[in-house]
Amino acid sequence: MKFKILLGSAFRSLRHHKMRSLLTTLGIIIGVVSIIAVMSIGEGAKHQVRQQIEKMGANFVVILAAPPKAITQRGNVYFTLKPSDVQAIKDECPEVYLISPGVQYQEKVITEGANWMTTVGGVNEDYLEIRQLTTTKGEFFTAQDVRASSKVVVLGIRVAKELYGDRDPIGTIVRIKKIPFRVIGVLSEQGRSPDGRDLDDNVLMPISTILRKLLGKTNYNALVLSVYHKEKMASASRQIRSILRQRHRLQPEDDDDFTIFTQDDAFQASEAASSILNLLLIIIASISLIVGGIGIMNIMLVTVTERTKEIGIRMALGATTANILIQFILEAITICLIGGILGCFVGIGISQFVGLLLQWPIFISREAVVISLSSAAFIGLFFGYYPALQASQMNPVEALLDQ
Amino acid sequence: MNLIEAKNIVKTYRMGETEVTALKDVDISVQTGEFVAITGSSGSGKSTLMHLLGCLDTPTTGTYTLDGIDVSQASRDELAHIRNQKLGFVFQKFHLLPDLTALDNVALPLLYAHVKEAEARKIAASHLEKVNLKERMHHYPYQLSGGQQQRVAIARSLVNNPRIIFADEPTGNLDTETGNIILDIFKELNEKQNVTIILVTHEPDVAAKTKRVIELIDGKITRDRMQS
Repeated sequence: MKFKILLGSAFRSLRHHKMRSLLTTLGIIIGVVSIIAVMSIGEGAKHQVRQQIEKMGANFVVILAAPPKAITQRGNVYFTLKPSDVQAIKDECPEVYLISPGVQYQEKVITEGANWMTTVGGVNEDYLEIRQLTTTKGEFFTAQDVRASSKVVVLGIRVAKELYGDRDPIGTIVRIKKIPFRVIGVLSEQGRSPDGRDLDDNVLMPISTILRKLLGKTNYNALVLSVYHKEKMASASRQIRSILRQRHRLQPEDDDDFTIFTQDDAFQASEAASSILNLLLIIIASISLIVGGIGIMNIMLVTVTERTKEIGIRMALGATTANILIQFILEAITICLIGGILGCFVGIGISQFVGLLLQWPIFISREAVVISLSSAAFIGLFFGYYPALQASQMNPVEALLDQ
Repeated sequence: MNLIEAKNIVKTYRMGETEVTALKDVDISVQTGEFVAITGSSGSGKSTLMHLLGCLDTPTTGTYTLDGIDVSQASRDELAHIRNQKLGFVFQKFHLLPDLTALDNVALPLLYAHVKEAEARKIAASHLEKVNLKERMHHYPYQLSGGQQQRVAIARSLVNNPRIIFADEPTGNLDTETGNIILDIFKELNEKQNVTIILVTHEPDVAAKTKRVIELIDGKITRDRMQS
């Protein structure tokens, strides 16, 4: 028996029960809509986060002075990374391209008529390149400024706005702890970090300046560096770890007293977070599909009962068990696939709408469409099987005599 | 060799607690080209006998050989194949599929016989032509009168060139005039094309048009006589 003919019979019976078929497929439609929407929006979110991480620099590695266990605490109070550590990394790890020490803490920045609590950071002249940043106004400080502990600052764009509004801050003086600093530049906008911090809310000055004039310390609480090759990021990070462990005289049983983050780690962490979320949402979508499938089974059982006489007639004319079985399974699959296709359209529509609303790029993944349509078909097969089996096992005489 | 050779056929049904014997030790043989009426009152077992002879059911005990094949122990699908290849059915209530046109109704047995769709339609059309329904072949059953529907059913029963046609009260839902037209078609098929016909009826007038009448009372054959 030809597939096409069976399909025709499936469509005819659906046409006769339009409303019923639509209601039946609603569960499937909702399931498919959620799969498509979840995967498309999730893919967009992933892309968004990836871009944010990429914006943070090229092949960059951050070393924090805090041990991994203390990393979530706010405010980095560990000053255990020494200038000699920086030198050792430079000397012993050839993969390192640029390295900048870092110190940061919260401080109030004051101008005439305005003040703003922000993160004040100290770095060297290479920081701009490591983090792939640019200035929108003025200049970044130079190696000469770092050597001379010049009292100059570069403002994050948020700080510039808060303190100056529309005025040009270049050449003006800001005070931090009553010490005057000359504003020499404003950084370009960076947006938010993947964990939501405002990356434009900071003030940068030479590392030597912040240590001597503001903190009175000689050690750093972070190092930021970039490596030459993306694929060597992990091996470089391992090498740095052993250098630091050695220099900090850690015994094999001791934990690290520092934490290394690579850009790859950030990617992996965000990927892991989003895939767990995706998995959860997919599970919810699957539950909806299964509920939809039970609806399909229910309506197919009704259909089989209603069409007992038809089944009897077909059997009298020579339909085999397999003929009847396939006919009703195909009908269930057809209902599910129609629901699946409708669901795809609605899901794509909703995704686009959400994308517009959240200003996210939306990626309608072909994967999502294939997965949802094939699971719809599978649901049809699985939940259509039992009713179809019942139809195929009917006694021809009893079926014919059915009123 | 007889086309139908049934011996010691017993059919019992279970109706809740009690067991009902619908056929008690029935012997029947039919040769090619016969036009047989099975008559009897309601509950006499005539329909059960037709269902057994028509391979829609199997006997509880006894042997049934159809066209040289022992079908008393055949499987569901073997019986389906025999019905499809060797038998045609005409029912009291026509039993056309409401979602199919006359043409597709007639073509259906051919599709179950794996005939290609276009070919099946062609053969179906020629059979509809023989029952004078060529112009109406694209009509759906609800667009046809009772007599027309029964002619479609006859065309459908003939489409596989069966050895036997079973007609279960084929005139029961038709007025006398239309019924006579249907009976004439059967008669002509029998006489001109030597088609074997087994007709189940409770009406003596209808039985009178056949060549042989088998009468059942309480699941037993009480009379089996030829008539001119």
